[in-house]
Amino acid sequence: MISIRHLSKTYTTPDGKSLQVLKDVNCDIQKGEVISIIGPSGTGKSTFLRALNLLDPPTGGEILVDGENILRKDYPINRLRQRMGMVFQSFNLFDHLTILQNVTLAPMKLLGMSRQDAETEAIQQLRKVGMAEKADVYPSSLSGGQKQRVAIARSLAMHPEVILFDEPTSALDPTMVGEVLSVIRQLAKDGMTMLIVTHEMKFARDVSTRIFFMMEGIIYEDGTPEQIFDHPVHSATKAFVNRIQKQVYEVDSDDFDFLQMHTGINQFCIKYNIAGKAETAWSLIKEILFEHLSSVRPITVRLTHTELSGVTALDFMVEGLNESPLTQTIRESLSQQVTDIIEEQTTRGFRVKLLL
Amino acid sequence: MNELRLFASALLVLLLAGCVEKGTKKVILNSEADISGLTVAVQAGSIYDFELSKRSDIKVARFNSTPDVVAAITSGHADVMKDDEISMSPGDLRSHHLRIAMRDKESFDIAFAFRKDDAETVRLFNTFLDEIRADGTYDEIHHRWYDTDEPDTVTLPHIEQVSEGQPLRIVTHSLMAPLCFRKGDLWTGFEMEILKRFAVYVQRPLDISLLDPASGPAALQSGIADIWSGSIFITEERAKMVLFTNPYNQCHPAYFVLDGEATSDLGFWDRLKDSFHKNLIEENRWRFLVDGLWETIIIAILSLLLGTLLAGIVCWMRMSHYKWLSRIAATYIDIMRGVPLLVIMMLMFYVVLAGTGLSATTVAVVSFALVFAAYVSEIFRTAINSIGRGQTEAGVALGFTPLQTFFYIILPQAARAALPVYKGEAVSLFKNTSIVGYIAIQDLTKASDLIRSRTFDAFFPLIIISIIYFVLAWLLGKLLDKTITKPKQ
Repeated sequence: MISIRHLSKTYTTPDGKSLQVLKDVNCDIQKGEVISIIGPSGTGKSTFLRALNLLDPPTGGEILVDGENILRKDYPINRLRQRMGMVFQSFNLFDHLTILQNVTLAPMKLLGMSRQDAETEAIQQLRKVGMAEKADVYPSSLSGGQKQRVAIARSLAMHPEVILFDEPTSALDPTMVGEVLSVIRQLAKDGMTMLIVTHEMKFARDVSTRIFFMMEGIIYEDGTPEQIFDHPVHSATKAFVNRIQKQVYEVDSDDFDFLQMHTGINQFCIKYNIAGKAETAWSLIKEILFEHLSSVRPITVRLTHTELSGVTALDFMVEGLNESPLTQTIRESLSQQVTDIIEEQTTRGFRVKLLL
Repeated sequence: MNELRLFASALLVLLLAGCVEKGTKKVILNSEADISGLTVAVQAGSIYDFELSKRSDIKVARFNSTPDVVAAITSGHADVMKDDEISMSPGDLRSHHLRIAMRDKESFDIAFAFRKDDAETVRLFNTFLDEIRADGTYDEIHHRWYDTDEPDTVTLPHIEQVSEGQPLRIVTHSLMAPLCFRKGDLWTGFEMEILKRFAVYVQRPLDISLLDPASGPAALQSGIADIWSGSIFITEERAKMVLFTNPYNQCHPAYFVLDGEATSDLGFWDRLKDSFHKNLIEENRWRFLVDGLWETIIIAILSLLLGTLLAGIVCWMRMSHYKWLSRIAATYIDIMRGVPLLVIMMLMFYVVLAGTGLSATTVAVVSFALVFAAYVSEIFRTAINSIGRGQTEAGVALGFTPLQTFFYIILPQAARAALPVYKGEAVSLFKNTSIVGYIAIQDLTKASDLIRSRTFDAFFPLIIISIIYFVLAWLLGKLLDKTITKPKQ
């Protein structure tokens, strides 16, 4: 369906330097594929996606859609864009139009649909994303997650053959990521061809038929989710998919902003789909900081999570200590609540690590 | 409605203030030396202006017309005025409590001025003048207008004008009986009778407009007018720029001072009623206001439409990817914003569009539109830039062309963002139309001048037009609000 050959893109920065974001991208995309594009930031994931519908025209190579090179000068790109939907990180709903009008605008103006047909169609698409109820309100009164779902409906109303998702959940509050991802999951089930630039590893693994791991302007590794996440060929891929997410707090006195810490822990857990562990983590933190180690300050508290393995750990680090601050009674009380306790001496001091 | 109520209260205070009597000081003149240290009111650009400006011991206050000069002295802004003795009738003198304090020894010839290249018409006029002098018509005219105490009650005999042919375009600044004044729609007075008879003599229709006295020579030189009238002295300097006819009259310069105080035993409401009647009802003077208002509205609306259209084009050029196009637009905007509107309008009238034969109204519309476009294009640009890049991207990604994206998605949002500032600019354009009197258009402001010239009441006509301006500006604002409604939240 889409074949990409030696695609490259060079930007000229305002100070006159040229910056090659895409070096040599090659791939073939078939109908029905759901491809997640992952990789470190600044490696050209979004640029690649935006090159496909020429929102950011590439500077070299070719893109063949149904055998035709769309980089040809006289190629009717507007026609192609009608068949190639796009969902943006920042939603980009039309603020002056109601939700319904946002969805009907393009079908009416571009496909020549009558208002009535377009509205019937729009309501159908809005139902699909659970937003039919809000048809007559303006975008400014919606939450981020709702806006993004409307943006998806707006895209669907044109009956595209493929939809490009450019980090659809990155601008969302963690609590709203789920609603958007579930809409995309449903689309995948319905067989929609999609390219998704995302940082949601678990989602990418669940929903995709194929993963592109992009780095340094090329598709570094291309394979099924199992290949990329479980048996990556390249070490860079392995390092990326196994990277540890963490949240660190330095508790130096009892004046520390514990409220903010509580919120931070909750958000972290929601973001990495471990909301169930949030309460345990917070009660453990309270127990250790205010009961067992209430006289020991400063303490560095760290919450870590490895997305792929699903391992979550909570560790407490006391600097300059060379023996465990835990007593046997404490250890026993804690072991009821966690899967494992690791006590280790490090160069900086002593660390107690609780695996949740 | 609150603004309306506030305005009404402010008006009442003004009305009360305007009805307070002003004190005047007694001036006695025996020789030219006695005017030393006084403020002398004269017509701008008149021979008195030139003559008195040479003296350093007096202050010269210049005004555009004799009524303004009279108003200056009766309102206490000047101690003495100098003008032609015959420009004021004995009746006028009495009603304004003026008297002649001193006469100049010399008198001057006055004539009509023609375009430098129009010797043929000058020759025709001179022949015409000789003929009416010979057959007694001239004496009859002179007698009609000057041998009476109340020349403004004199009826101009009906002189059937021709309607076909190349018009004889006359500019005058004079609005004073008996020389030349307006009575309702009718231009009348001594000069006008001569000119009307001359027009019939040469079988050309007349086209008369009001222009400030200093602009007369420019109007002739730029070919906007054929004749400059209004008690024009023959001076050597002027003779270099224009062609003078043979003198048709003489003028006798004199100093006028206040004679006693204007008193009124009427109460406030009666005086208001009296003012109302004098300024609006008598001689159907409200017609001036209606005609002027129409002119003002036409100019405002046309320049608003044309200016907005132009603003769109300038904005498009300014935002163009072509550097040279953008630079042209930027330069245009800088120039139009850097030169006063009045100056631009006068330049258009006397220089740029002088030879095109466009009417003064058209010139005004073009000038206002050009300046309005410069300001509004920047308002548009700011508004468009305030709409996020994402909106364009979303439109284009859906398959709209850049142009469609602009019209369906960017423009509606930008229009809403621009509205508050645009509204202010539109209202300000509307109010600025009050300067079109400078290029001989009788708009609302000029209508108040016309009324003042007959009633010598500065206060009432100005208050009336400020009310009209205010209400219209307010309505214009409301109308613009209605046109571009805000989205319901």
